[in-house]
Amino acid sequence: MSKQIESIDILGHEAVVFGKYLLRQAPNEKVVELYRRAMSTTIVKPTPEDQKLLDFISKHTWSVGLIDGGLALLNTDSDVRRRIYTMLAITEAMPDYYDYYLPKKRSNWYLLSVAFVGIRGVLRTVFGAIVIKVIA
Amino acid sequence: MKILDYIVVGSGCSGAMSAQTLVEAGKQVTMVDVGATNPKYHDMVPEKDFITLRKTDPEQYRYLLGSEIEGVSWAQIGKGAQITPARKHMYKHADTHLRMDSKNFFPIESLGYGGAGIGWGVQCWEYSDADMRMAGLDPQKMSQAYETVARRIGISGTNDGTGKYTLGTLKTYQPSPKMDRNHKYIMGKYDKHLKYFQKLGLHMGRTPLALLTKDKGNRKAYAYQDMDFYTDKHRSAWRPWIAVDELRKNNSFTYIGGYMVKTFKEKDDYVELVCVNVDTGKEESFYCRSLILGSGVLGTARIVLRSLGAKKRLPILCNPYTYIPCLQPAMVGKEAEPGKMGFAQLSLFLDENNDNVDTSVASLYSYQSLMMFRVIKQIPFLSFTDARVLMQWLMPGLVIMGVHHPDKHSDNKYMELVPDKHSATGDSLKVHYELGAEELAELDRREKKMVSAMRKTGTFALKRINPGYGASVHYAGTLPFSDEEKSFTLARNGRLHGTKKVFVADSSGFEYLPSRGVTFTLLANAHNVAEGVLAHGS
Repeated sequence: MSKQIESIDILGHEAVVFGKYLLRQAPNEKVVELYRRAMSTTIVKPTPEDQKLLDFISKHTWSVGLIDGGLALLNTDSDVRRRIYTMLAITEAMPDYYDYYLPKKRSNWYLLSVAFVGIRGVLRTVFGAIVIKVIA
Repeated sequence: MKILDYIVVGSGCSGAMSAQTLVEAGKQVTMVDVGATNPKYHDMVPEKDFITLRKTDPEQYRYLLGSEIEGVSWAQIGKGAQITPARKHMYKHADTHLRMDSKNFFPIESLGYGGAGIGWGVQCWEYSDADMRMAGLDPQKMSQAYETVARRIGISGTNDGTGKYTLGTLKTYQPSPKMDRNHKYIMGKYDKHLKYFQKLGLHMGRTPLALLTKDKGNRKAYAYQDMDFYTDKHRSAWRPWIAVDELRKNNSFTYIGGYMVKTFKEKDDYVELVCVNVDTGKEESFYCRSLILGSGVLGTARIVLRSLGAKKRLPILCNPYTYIPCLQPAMVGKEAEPGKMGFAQLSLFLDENNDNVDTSVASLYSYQSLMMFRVIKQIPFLSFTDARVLMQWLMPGLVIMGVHHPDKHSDNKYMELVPDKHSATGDSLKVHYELGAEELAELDRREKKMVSAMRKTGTFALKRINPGYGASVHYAGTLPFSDEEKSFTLARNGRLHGTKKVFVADSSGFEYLPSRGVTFTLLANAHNVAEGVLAHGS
């Protein structure tokens, strides 16, 4: 029983970390609950490498973006990516966060923002790959 | 032992249509079916459009992702990518009762109430006369049957410049639904460059759909709520279960659910149908004067192989399919569009010889209601936060081309039953399907030509994705038509050679599979087979 509670708490912490990473704000309680539910019903035991990364993210929450980016290059099927992806799907289906997902009217100047995101993304991916190698 | 007059096996397109023809002729009909349902999602979707629901409904995750988030799949885009939680019952029992043994063929089969028609894209192209002849069908009889089916299910279409590829000779149809901005844009550019397209043998027009734009009986005109992947609430799109629901109100029709047909045994004056109860696993028999198999091409093949000799190797046809995400730069950065729809709106035909034979066809869809999470995995080398920003900007310009090609028999396309101790029926279907180098080169050439021409419409392919053989969900040719009384072939009226009272109502008999979706034709053929059964006498 205590093991189960401990595992639920880990999932709750994970949900908050991934939610903050995706939304730049703490996700609401419903999102955390749904993340726990999704992870409990579709448990895939992480590989030792993935577990290392999950532990690292848990302790150093700033690293989640770098590790996500690095895995997009090194191991797209990683369980870490699967978990972030599940959180993304859950937040997409929440009215509180529709603004992050439904297309919005953008002016042509928005192209500059997209270019910035692209450059940031590439840097994240490169540095993330280095961080992953170091952790490994 | 009670001997029933007519038993129809399966509630999918061919089962539903043949049963309707028999019932309308005043016959007593019993349908035997597994009929898996998922009532959990039936009335869950509120009466609002997709964008309003996204902005307001705190319970939307239930129907968009599933109550247990079971609709979020980590798998790459492939077979059944558009199957949402509300339609997942399509696959119920399939793992145990429709086992498949193949390295390269991954079909979609269903034991759901309404069969694979639960997830049908409702495209209703007529085959050309030449295509029908190659498939072994009689164009004159089929033309009448298309009309009957169109009256029953309700078809919307436009007799535009591509009428010969889409509606054919059909007279009964409602106007097409309105196009969204992506498709209006494509059509506008196509009209501007019409001569260029015609020179290449490419023709674009509205896709005929089994979708009402005017009320029909208790079914309502399409309401442009863009919830087509999640609910059939208004019954605007025809599904086989809608027909079966109507039949069940008739005293001449009996529905027996929960049974999967294993074999049949023909006696002097009746047919015994041996079934497996999917809940108990026990075998039970039903008896009838005439048996009509409408259990889908692969399901029918299983039943026939078990009944007539499991060691036989049968041929198979399946439309090769490629999934091509495209981008329309002119639409990028626009806000979400209300009133979109998830069904195909335009079709692009490649008919280089201008003879309406051996064509390839691309169906065009815009992307919105399947949500961002289904496509974001495709963005390479980016973290999910960066990919999200990019996708939010790009998504209004996302257009999907689904390209189907015709298929012919070859020695490299076959299947057989093999023992399988994990299967509820004791066997699985082993399929070998391989396209030859020449075939692959030809498909590649055609796709490149279509993709290249689409650039003229301001629509640019991002990549070509092969979801694997079998993903088109169009199967045929396992028991080809024959004028000789040969085993494992069908007479032209659908009777299984070697039997007196066993008929096959699906596309098992087709000797060729044109690129245009098979469903409308198999509905028409099922009607014709039922007429043949009536002519044959019970």
